[in-house]
Amino acid sequence: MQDSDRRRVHAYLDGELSPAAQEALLCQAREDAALGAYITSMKAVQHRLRTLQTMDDPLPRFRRPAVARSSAMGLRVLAAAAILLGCAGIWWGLSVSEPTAPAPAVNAAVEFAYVAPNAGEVQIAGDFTDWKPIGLHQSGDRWTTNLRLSPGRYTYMYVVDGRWTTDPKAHSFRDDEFGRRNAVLHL
Amino acid sequence: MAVAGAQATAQVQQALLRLPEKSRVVLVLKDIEGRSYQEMRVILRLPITTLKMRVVRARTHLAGLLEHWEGTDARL
Repeated sequence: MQDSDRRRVHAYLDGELSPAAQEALLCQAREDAALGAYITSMKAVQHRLRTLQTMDDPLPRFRRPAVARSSAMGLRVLAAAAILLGCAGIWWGLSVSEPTAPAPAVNAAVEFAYVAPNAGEVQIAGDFTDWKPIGLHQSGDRWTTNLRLSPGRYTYMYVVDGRWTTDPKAHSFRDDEFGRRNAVLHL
Repeated sequence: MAVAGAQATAQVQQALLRLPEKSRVVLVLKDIEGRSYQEMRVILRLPITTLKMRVVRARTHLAGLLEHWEGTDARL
């Protein structure tokens, strides 16, 4: 099959062909079995991808930061930790989140804490989990987990009842490739 | 039917994860999120011709993976 035919097929799938061009393509496909099979196959793929449209999170592991970039650490982290420890706010109703980074060092223990009284499950995913969500432990209204992380810059998000949620209390953020914001933690 | 549907969904997700990231990006934006090429151009900062080529390659690659896994009976 020629590349030009392949491009026409995808233009057809994307609704970019005029009615006349569409009819010409389908007419050609009736006589060209390979072209017909290709159209059928591509339609099937497109259909199956579209079935994912109704899912809140069709591909969780896909949310990776676009570019990793090193940045300053030290006082900035301590200041952010102090601010975060001292802050309590309301976000999306009754949800409050506060990652705390005590004493940055090699493999520092970092507590991620998220307050969500009404949540049934809270998870965290980030660079440090290869974007695989891991569960936080519930204690009253608080959901926490302690992770040992080496110094560096990490991006992460919470997953609250399956919904990917940006940590509003992070001291910086980074846009991902889909218009969402990952929280950034510097250690 | 529900189980079959869930399995089919999981297969598509697994197949997507097997694709190179460049391919996944365009398929998620184009076929799952239903973005236009104009929107994709803004989001990914790539020429539309490049995006279209990537979509062609990505769909073809994904179809190959799914057909390999499911056999000819799986075609919709």
